[in-house]
Amino acid sequence: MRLWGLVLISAAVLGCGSGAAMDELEPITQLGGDFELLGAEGRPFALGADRSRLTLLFFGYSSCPEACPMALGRASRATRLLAERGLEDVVRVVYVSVDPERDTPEIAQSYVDAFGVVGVGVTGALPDLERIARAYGAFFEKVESDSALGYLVDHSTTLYLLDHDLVVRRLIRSDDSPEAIAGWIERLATS
Amino acid sequence: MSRFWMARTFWLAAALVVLVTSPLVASASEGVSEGAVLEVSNPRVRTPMPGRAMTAGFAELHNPGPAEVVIVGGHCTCSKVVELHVMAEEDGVMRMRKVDQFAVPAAGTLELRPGGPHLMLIGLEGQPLEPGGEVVIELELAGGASQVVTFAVESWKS
Repeated sequence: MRLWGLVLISAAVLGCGSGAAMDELEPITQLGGDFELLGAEGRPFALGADRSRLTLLFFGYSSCPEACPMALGRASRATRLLAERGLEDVVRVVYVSVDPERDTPEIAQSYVDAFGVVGVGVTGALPDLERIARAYGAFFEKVESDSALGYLVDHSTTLYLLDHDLVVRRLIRSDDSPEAIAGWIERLATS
Repeated sequence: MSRFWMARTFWLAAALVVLVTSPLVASASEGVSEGAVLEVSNPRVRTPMPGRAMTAGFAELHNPGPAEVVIVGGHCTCSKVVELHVMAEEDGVMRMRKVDQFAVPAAGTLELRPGGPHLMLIGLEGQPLEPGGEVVIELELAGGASQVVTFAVESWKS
C-alpha cells in the first residue's frame, strides 16, 4: 500500500513535468539519489562511482515479456540516434532488476547487453531494492499467478534520465519516443 | 483513489480492451484456414530474447459472424504452453495477467498487440525460432472447435 503513495507522487511529478511553462529538464530534486547494489560476478556497483556519462535508469525484471523490452528498446534506439550525431559516449543505461529471486546480476547484465547499449545490469537484496525504488518514486510488486511463468511483477515503466550529479532531470514515460529521449539527452549532454 | 478502486478500474479497463468492438473492415484472407471462424491478419511471433525460453504472439482477429467467438487457449509444438495474457498500463505501472479467455465480438475485431492482449508462448522447445520462419498455433475455441493459424517469426528487436 505504501508504494501506491510513491506511484501517486511520481504521477504528480510527471504531470508537473508536462506543463508548458516548466523547463523539460528542470531538476526533480524530490526523487533520486546515489545507491549501491550488486553487479556481475557479485561486484559492488555504486551508481555514483562513474559520473562520466548521463544515466538512463530503469526498474524492471528479466522475465518481463513486454514492458521492459519496450523501454530498453526505446533507450537503445535513442542511443543509436545519438551516435549518429556523434554523441555515442554520453549516456549509459543502468537496469535495476527488482526480481532478485530469478535474476542474478549476470542475468541482469545479459539483459542489458542484448540491447546493444553501454550499460550495467544490477540487482540486490529486496529491502535495498524497495528502498531505492522508494527514493525514485518507482513501484514494483510481486503478483502470484497460475501462469507457467510463475509469479509476475507489476512495475513502473518510467525511464529516469539523470545528470552527472545523479539529479533526476526527466521522467521518461512509456509513450515518449526515442527521438524525444535522444533530444533530452543531447540537450543535457551539450548544455 | 484507494487501491481497491484502482484495481477495479484496472480490471475494468483490461476487460474493455479485450471486449472492445472495432469497425475494422476485414482485410484479405491472410492467415485464414479452411473453415476458419476468425479472419486473421498479420499473425506474428517474436524470436525470444537471448537466453529466454518464452515469447509473445500478436495478430488482428476479425470475427465476421453474427455471434461472439471466444478463444479459451492455444497449442503450439514450439512451446510447452500457450497462455492468454492481458496487459495494461495505469499511472505509469504495467500490469500483466493471465486470463482464461479472449472474446472476439460479433462483426468485430480483437487486436493482439504489444502492450495489450497477446499470446504467451512459454517453455520454447524444438527448433529455435528464426526471423523469416513460421510457427503454427492452434487456437482453441469455446465449444470445442479450434482454428489453426500460421504465425510469421520476426526479430524481437523489430
